[in-house]
Amino acid sequence: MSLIRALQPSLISPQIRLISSTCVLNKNQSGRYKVTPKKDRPLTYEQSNPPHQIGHRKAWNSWNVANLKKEKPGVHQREPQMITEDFFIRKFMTATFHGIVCSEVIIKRQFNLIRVAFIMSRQLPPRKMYFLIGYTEELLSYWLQCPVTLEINTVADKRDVIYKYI
Amino acid sequence: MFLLQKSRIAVSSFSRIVLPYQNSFGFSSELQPRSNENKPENVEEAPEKDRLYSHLEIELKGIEPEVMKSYVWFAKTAAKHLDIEVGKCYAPKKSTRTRWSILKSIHVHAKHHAQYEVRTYYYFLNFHNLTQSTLETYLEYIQRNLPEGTGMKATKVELQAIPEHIKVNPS
Repeated sequence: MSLIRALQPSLISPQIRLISSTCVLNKNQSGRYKVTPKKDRPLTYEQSNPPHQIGHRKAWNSWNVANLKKEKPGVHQREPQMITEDFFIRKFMTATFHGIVCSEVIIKRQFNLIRVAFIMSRQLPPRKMYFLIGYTEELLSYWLQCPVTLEINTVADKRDVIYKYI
Repeated sequence: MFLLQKSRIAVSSFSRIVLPYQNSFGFSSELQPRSNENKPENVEEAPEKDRLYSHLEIELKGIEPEVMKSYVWFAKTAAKHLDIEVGKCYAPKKSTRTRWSILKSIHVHAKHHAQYEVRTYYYFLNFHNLTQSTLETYLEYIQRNLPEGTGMKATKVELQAIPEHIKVNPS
């Protein structure tokens, strides 16, 4: 019965769905966005380049001395604290400037100074923006116990940062 | 304004005592003014002479080679303007890489690994025949402008006079 079926493929109803089962493929899926059928998902330049392009078409988001080769094996340069601080700073930025941050938050450390940079859209009136900038710098410097400066670039519209639609 | 002179030292009269003075990278060199706490006030202080350094080696470590290249250009130009003798400045062609393989899946599937790598790029700068004031000024200036993601180690070689108890008796 099944042999006859195989020899006459036209007899197989087109509404049958077949399941193919393979082993778990373990594909890399971090930092990659799936194509939508309508092609309306906006991506910035950073988002459109997958993580293996870091160092080629992308740069890092945190710049510090933690990953340099150490002179003595046991000496820690505050790496875990730096990582936790980075997490906190990113969350804080996205929450304080809610819906306005248009790019990834870039954190640069020079000696004691932390410089936080990102692109912001001009949705808020300037007075509010200046207040929020001062508030962020003040509170972050008290929490992290070191001077914090914000280096913000503004963009007229969120759509200016979009690189492509997926 | 101190004189930044090129120091010419007769080799016979000075001994070369190597005193490597290593700063931990990422922090500025300490500029401690020499405090004379125990000196009584009525004694006249003789003017302190500048110490002489025959060699300053700066080892730069960085994540991004282009950032380091531009920093080295800045450092060399600053040295040129301060009349510091610039020696050999070079970078090894390849960076130091630490690589490790990690299991991709949380459970089972040991055939599938992910490779990670951390790179450290190096650059070496050498300067010769500096006075203490020049060296301190230069290092301070250089270190204040150290970019993020770059570390510096400064090694100084000082020249000292032969101490009295070692000097050969002329008779």
